Amino acid sequence: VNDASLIRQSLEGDTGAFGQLVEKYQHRLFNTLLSIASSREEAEDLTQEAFVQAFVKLRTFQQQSAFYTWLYRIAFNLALGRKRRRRRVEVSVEQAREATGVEPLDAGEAPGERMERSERVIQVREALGALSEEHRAILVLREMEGCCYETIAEILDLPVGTVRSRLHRARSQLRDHLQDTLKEHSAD
Amino acid sequence: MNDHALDELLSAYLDGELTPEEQSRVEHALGESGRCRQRHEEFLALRATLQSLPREQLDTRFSERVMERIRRLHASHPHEKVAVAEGIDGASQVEVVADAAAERRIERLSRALRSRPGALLAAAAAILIAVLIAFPRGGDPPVTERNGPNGNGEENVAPIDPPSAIANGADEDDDPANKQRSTEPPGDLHETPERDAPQAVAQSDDSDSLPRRDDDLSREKREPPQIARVNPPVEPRVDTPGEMAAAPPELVIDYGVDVEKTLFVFRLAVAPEALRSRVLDNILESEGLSLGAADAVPERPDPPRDDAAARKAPQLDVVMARAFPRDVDRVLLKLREREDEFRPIAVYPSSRIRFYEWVVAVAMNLPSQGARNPADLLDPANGRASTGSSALTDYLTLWSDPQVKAFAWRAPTADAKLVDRFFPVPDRPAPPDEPKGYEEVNPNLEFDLIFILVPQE
Repeated sequence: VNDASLIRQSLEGDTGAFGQLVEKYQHRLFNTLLSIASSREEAEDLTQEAFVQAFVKLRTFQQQSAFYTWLYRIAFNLALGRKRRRRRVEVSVEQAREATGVEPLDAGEAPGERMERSERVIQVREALGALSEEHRAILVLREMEGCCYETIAEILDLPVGTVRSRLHRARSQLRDHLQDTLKEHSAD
Repeated sequence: MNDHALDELLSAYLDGELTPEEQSRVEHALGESGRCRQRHEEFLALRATLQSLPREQLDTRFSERVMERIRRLHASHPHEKVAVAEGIDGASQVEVVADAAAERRIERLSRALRSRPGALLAAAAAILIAVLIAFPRGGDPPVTERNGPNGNGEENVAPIDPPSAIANGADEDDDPANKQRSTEPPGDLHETPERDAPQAVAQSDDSDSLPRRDDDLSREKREPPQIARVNPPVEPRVDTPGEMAAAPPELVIDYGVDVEKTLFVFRLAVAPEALRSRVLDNILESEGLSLGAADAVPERPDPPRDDAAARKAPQLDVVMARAFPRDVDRVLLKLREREDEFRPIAVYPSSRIRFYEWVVAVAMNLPSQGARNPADLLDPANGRASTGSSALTDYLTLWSDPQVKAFAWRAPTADAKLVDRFFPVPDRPAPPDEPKGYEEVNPNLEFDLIFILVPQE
């Protein structure tokens, strides 16, 4: 069943149809928000809130863009709105661990490799956490979600030109934070 | 082409977002420049690093919890309210909040209320208060704004009467909250939340929003309901004992708190670009205002992308910052120097925030914009769907109570009367000056209409 049908059924009062949309997008949205939120709990909270708001606003969704784009727009408005109001807190290693939760590890990894991998994840999360929320958001949308500039512009309500320049600044800053890690990654 | 510009092209090259001409320029540079190749490799490594981050799983009951909320939300609306709830974005968010969101916060408030039985409703009779507060039309200025008294739509920020609680700083001691608590009769309708809730908002880790119009909404608790008069044209001013517009360069405002570092609430009209560029943050921080408890509440976080006017129009923001009063004065002076970007509307210490039972849902669609009844507001075809404010929604959560409703609409004056038709309240005592209030204000101005319905016990 495609999104448009599920949306139509939801609008006709079938909450189960909306439930299918939740099932379909929850993990993806959660993982995106996880990189922006300061904790796993906050990411869950934002994900939940985004779905509820999407349900409430569903009638205003004109389907000129994909449902997930619209959903992301709601979620990012929520997330960035919160973030802008709350000064960014440097993410400690412990917080990064917490945000990362229990890391799924490759079964074939040796303990040493596992630890290195885990440390790297923490370093990357920390480096992401050190960026401004705007930079983090745009990087996550591009690099982890694979959104094109047009979609990013729509989600973040920015001109496409700004997407391009901001993305460059975000990459440059993250690169500066991750110089050593990147060298290791290149060497792998 | 300098390195920075070339790097930006490299970044976009990586994303396949260049024009053919730009692309060939980058490819040429990659062939010629070792620095370019290195940068390109770094960006590639960065991408690989980010994409290698492990994906997390939500627990299996997550979707159940979401759907439980949604079903409750869906079921809790009597059918006749659906049009309003769904049609007016802000209003619908009220309903959302009533059902969930930050249930922890509801619980906190419930505990506070339980500790003072009857505090909320003991004194409540059926009251309808209309508070008109003039603002410049923010997100999508219609024709009436452009035809406003000064023609540019920029100066229509109207003052409201300074709340008596703010104007009267004489009753302050070192701890205003304690003092007020001790002097008010027990069981006062506003006693508990007035003191506790705004502070809780400010200090709570998960709070994202602020009270709005707290001063006005609370004022009526001690005084007969009033409608703030607006006599256009008006100058921007700060709704404090000191007025921004008339203030001398050495601005000194008496906030009623002198020595303590206090949580201040700034209400500002802010140009969206200024908001994004963090100028405001920088100004606040440069004066040492601690933003640990800061909030900024854009009322219209997502104006229509195709509406250039909406993009430029000021948004209303509320910012909370912990500060000494003199720091606040300096911030206000700095903001005045950037009046193209910021227009302070009100500043007050949070100790002056009085309780209001419900806050507000903001909607921009009203009859002047083509709707004739609430059902019309559902129609997204007019392109003016309200954005509401999730931050306000969060704040509403604090006072969530199904018995009490409040709605605020941003509306031209001419629409104000029609709100009564949408939300008729039988047997309500009419505030003495309400009927003529609408006519006395400037018909070209746009107002936030805040209706608070407090049910009879």
